[in-house]
Amino acid sequence: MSNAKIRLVGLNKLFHTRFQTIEAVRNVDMEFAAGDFVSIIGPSGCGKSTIIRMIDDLIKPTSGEIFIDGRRVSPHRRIPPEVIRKIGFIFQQPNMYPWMTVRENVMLPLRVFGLRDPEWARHADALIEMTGLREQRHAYPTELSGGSMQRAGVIRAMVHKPDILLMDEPFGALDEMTREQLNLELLDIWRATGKTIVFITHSVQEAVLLSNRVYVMGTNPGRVVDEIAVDLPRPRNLKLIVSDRFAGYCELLTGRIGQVELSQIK
Amino acid sequence: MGLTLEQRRELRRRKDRRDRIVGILAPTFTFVLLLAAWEALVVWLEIPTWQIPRPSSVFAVMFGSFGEFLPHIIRSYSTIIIAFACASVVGVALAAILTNFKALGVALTPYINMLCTTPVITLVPLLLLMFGFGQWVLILAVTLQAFPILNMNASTGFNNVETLKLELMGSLRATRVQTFRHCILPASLPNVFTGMKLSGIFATTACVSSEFSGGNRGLGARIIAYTQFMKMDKAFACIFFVAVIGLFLYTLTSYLETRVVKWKI
Ligand SMILES: Nc1ncnc2c1ncn2[C@@H]1O[C@H](COP(=O)(O)OP(=O)(O)OP(=O)(O)O)[C@@H](O)[C@H]1O
Ligand SMILES: [Mg+2]
Repeated sequence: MSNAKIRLVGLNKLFHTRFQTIEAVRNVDMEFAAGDFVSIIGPSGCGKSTIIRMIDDLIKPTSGEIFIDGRRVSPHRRIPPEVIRKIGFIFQQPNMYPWMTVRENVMLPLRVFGLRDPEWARHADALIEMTGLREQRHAYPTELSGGSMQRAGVIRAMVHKPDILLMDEPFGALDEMTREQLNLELLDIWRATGKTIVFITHSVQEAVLLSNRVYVMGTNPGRVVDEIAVDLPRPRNLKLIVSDRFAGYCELLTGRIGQVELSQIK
Repeated sequence: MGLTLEQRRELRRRKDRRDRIVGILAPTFTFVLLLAAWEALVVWLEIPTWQIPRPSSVFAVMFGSFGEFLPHIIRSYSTIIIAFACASVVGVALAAILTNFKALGVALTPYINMLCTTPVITLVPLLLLMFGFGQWVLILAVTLQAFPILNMNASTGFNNVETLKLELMGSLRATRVQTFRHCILPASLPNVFTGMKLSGIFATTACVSSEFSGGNRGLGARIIAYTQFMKMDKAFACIFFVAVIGLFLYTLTSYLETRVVKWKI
């Protein structure tokens, strides 16, 4: 079990605001195997972003431990650079820098990491090509559609070849069609690269379509309430969505989330 | 839309060119109209020329006696431009330092703001008394007046970069310098340019008012002298020369802004 790519042990996080202390997550244990695709689903405010941001060390847990590749990275003052470079973080919004062209945005992690070898630039261009952004590579983000921007956000997080992708509701703001399209593209990327993906979503369908396993979370305090394995064949495609087994999983998952919400009312 | 990026940009460029031409023609037209009205009023109301000169005679003097003005133009323009350049560097660099080292910022900001709100003309007699009438004293005074407003604007920009944008740098574990270079500075360029425009205006005002208060060189000093001898056409000629440098700095900064802030178009 300790050969997990990422392991969270007893994570707690308190936020102290001026008026109160918020218990964002309580006693969270999670495990993500190498090459696994795992979703985290739960109602708004249950601490999904908090968890993924702790994994990326954007915020520190109040207590508990985080292991990446068996190495304890938190609580520590600084994560060693070789661990950071294993991680690609994809934000809820595209979060493109408007002052850089698409290509410059995608290359930004390379510049920050000092990866100046032309091989890396070629890799970036290959990713741009693969996501169909070639025509727009010299455009500024304001000239792009929402879908194209989020695509660019995804490949920016992948450009330094991380093993791990942390995705915080990446397609939440997109329309249904674009979202399905990007989901399929993401599955292709995952199959081709074998990255470990932690995917946060509000959408039951999205979670079932994409993942091997789903963590269901509840609020007050944010905690893991269930863990469901999605045993559907791969590679998956849109045909799967209309199958009975898919519907079964969606129902199961919706039920679990519903139970969580009911138990909170009681 | 079925247009390629290049086509859309070309349309954009054409529209910009149209806007630029209108942007030049319209104010020029207003200018000519105002001068004509001025000329007409002075003639009709028979205002004596030692009170208000006619614009035509002001222009005649501007070109006719250009040699007489030239040394003073050079003196004032060089003071303003050198001070503006110094203020630009000092203003932005100081803002970068003060926003990065919070304690230093808290310690110094009130005094920089005070410098901004104190008219430098109140200091100039003192400075001249202490250091003599050298041009560098004026350059120092003008810089002191011009950099704080830029510092204030740039600091506002540096301090108010969207959290999400900074988090990207955080997730890449960028160093402070990298964060400033790739994120904070470009995000704040609009504030920096606003600060520079104001700084140019402050520099022009400060220079002329400093020259009012002492010495016999520079356009400010000439305006005082000509007014005393009721040579209003020459005084007005100097005022126009001052207006020209002020406008030049403003236009220059605006132009730089459109070149540098390409993504805003
Ligand atoms: N920086 C912060 N300061 C104070 N409270 C915070 C902070 N960040 C998050 N919280 C609180 O922690 C809780 C969990 O927030 P989090 O953003 O992780 O939820 P989430 O599950 O991602 O919600 P959503 O689905 O709406 O994005 C919320 O109650 C939130 O108000
Ligand atoms: Mg969230």
